[in-house]
Amino acid sequence: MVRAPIVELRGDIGHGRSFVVGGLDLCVEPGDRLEIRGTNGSGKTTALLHLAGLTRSRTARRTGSSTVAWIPAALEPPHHPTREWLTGFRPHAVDPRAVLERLGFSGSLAQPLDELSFGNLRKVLLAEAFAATPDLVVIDEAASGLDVTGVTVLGELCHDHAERGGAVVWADQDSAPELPATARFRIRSGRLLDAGPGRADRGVAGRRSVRFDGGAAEIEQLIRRAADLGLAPAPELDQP
Amino acid sequence: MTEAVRFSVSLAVRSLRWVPAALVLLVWTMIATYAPEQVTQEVAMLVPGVVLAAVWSGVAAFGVDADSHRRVLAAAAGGPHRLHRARFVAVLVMGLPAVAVLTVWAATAAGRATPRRCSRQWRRCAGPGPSARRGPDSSAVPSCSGSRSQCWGDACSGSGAC
Repeated sequence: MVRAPIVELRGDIGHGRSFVVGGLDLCVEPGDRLEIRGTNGSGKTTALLHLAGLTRSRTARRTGSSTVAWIPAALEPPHHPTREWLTGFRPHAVDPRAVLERLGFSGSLAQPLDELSFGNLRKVLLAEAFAATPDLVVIDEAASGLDVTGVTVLGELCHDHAERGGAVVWADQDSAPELPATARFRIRSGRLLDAGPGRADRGVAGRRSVRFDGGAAEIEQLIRRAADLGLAPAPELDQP
Repeated sequence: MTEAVRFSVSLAVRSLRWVPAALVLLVWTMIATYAPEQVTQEVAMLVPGVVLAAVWSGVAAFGVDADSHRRVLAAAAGGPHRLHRARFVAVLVMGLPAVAVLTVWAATAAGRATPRRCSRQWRRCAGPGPSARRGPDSSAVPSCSGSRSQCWGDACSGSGAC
């Protein structure tokens, strides 16, 4: 069965006349979870912005869906109540507060956005985006600012969204923990290169190191959860 | 689109960046309507204030947030052009109450000014008594009688001669 692509992006993208990434030929289909990695300034964010339809280049062509959620790497939030922001600017298929709770949000919804911590703000953005169930969720620096619970649940949210027929594309630094992906790309020397199949299919741990100041039971629970998602190998935990 | 407009209005209203524009308009309106003798001139005098307030409100509503936040909303709205459209409508929605208030104000000022208004071209007496129109330089002065007589002029009110 041929699936209609959600978004297709072809051509050379950049700012003005300077190309950042050339020869793009990216097709995002329902169920895709695509990861893009690269060094600072390699053009990850520019590629994502084009993919989300938020910027254009004369030499690139984007076709596809207009229902997109964009989660920036850093946000300068307005002084606006979090509760109203979370539910205010588009309809949601799922209650964003439930998603937020799942992500381990520790702030208050009564607080203004600009008074939330960086991590909590990222969780608000993620909860809003995934609760809206757009065709495509685009995340810049996906794991940035998230704690262990946040990263684990983000992996789950991406998985669930893809299962529902949506797609998720994210970019991350090399040092960031890996989320389960169906395909991986790397931007190097102005080219988007295929970095092989995603590790979600292989069940290999991509995480390098994690510091977690929780109790033993919580750590065990997290490891089991990560193993279920394919983020880590099956745990061999000592029985007390 | 409706959510985008509603949220844009909410964002702009909560930012309080419309307050200076509203104050400018208020002060301008008070100055313009201080002497309510000449409605047309008052309304004409309001135009620069209205333009100033409209431009100010537009700039405030469109620039209420940083680029990064605007992109989040643009993606939700379906693209930057759709967000621009929603914000344009939001500015109109925000401006409607001001326009309504100004309209009522102008109409009230006009209503207040009518009985005292002086027509330099014509003097007109109305009421149960004889009505007459005379040019300002006419030597014939019509007489008014009756308790309801009024003259559009600077010489007569109530019964008596215009």
